[in-house]
Amino acid sequence: MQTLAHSGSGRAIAARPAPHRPRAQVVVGALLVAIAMLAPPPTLARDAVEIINSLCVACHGLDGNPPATAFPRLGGLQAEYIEKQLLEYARGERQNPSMQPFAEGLSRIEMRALAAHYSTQRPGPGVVTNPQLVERGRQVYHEGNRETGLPACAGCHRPDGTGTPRSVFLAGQNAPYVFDQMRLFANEERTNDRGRLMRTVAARMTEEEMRAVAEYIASMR
Amino acid sequence: MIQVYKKQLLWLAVLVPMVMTTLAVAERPKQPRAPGIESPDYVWNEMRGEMLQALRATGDPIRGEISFDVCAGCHGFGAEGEDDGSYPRLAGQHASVLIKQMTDVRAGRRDNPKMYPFAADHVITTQEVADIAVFLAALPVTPDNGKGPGSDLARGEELYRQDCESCHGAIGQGSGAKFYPRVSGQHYEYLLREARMIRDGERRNANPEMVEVIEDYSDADLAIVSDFMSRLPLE
Repeated sequence: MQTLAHSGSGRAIAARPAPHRPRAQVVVGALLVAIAMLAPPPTLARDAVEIINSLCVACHGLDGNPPATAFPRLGGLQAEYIEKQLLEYARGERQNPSMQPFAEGLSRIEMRALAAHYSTQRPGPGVVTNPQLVERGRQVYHEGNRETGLPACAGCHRPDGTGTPRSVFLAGQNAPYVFDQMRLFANEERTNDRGRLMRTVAARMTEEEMRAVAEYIASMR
Repeated sequence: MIQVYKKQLLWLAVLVPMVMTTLAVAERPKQPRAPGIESPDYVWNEMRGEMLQALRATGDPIRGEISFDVCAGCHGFGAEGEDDGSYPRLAGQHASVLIKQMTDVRAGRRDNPKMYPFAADHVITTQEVADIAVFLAALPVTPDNGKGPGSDLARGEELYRQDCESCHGAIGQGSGAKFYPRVSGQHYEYLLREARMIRDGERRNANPEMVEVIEDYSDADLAIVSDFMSRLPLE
């Protein structure tokens, strides 16, 4: 209250009877209107490219192709998938201390705009970091492991890695990122998978299988 | 007062996620165990529960193909299974049989810890069970299934005509109405494995009539008759 009175805000002025000073009110009012017109209210959704340039570009690039393979490529991923991940980062349902603060600052409309932007970008060629593992990974991806009951990744993610509305697009995804995610699923640290399917699958994989399949996925185009 | 509550809330905020995490780990999908053939009041193919619901549902083969993605990783896109019998063929099986087997796995009457996490109700709804079943029933059965060694097909046929034909049919076509599976086109190793498990009481959703018929079969008899079944002609 004290600060209000000292700042001479419109409300404090209006509360005072000042019949001989009507001009001050008009001037203050006009100023407020002018300020309101100049500065857009912060609640309005920002444009996707504007958000990306201020928040996302350093790690994911404007076209979804990140500068380092530890970060996921976003180009071509299903919009529904990207939006779901952003929402769950914000809610802490997909735990990630780096992503959470960015996601928390986004409105639902902004999340949808970002998802639409990245899903329509053309993914660049994948980066294979360990070519010797690709053939072994191809076998795991297309055949699974009958001994351990590991299903072929191709079942849900499709033979070409393009996924379905229920399973994410994988082709060309960065190997270190894919490997990290499989580890997180296996350890029950990432828990936002449909029907616990990825947690079940990853828990049946050896580290060797995870590394190999991640390299094969990176090689897919 | 508010300060005191705040302290308690803080404790809750720390403890609740800890407990939830523990529960989440403990919640790994473990197949339930329902009474089966070992139980004195076991009724084979009892028309109740989810099986009855799924049988009454109208299956949609187009939706079934979409839902089948979680099965395709093992059974193959054409549901052809694996020649070595590690995964059975599902293509062309009677929808009623598929519904019975899926709901038996879901309820824990047929033990299959490998399949359970992909077929349980946190992945597939009862409607999807019906959808998948009609999708699979309409898939073509091809003659490239895994076959046995072909060492004594005459004896195999003799056993089949004597003990199996009355239920599984002259050409192994089974019966959808009676929930008897089609055995033609099935992989030899799978037929043999299941026959052994049925004889030995390990397949807990087995038909007691069948157990009685094959209880005196030797492993060699089972192999010979399975071999014959794997070579039955496809209609």
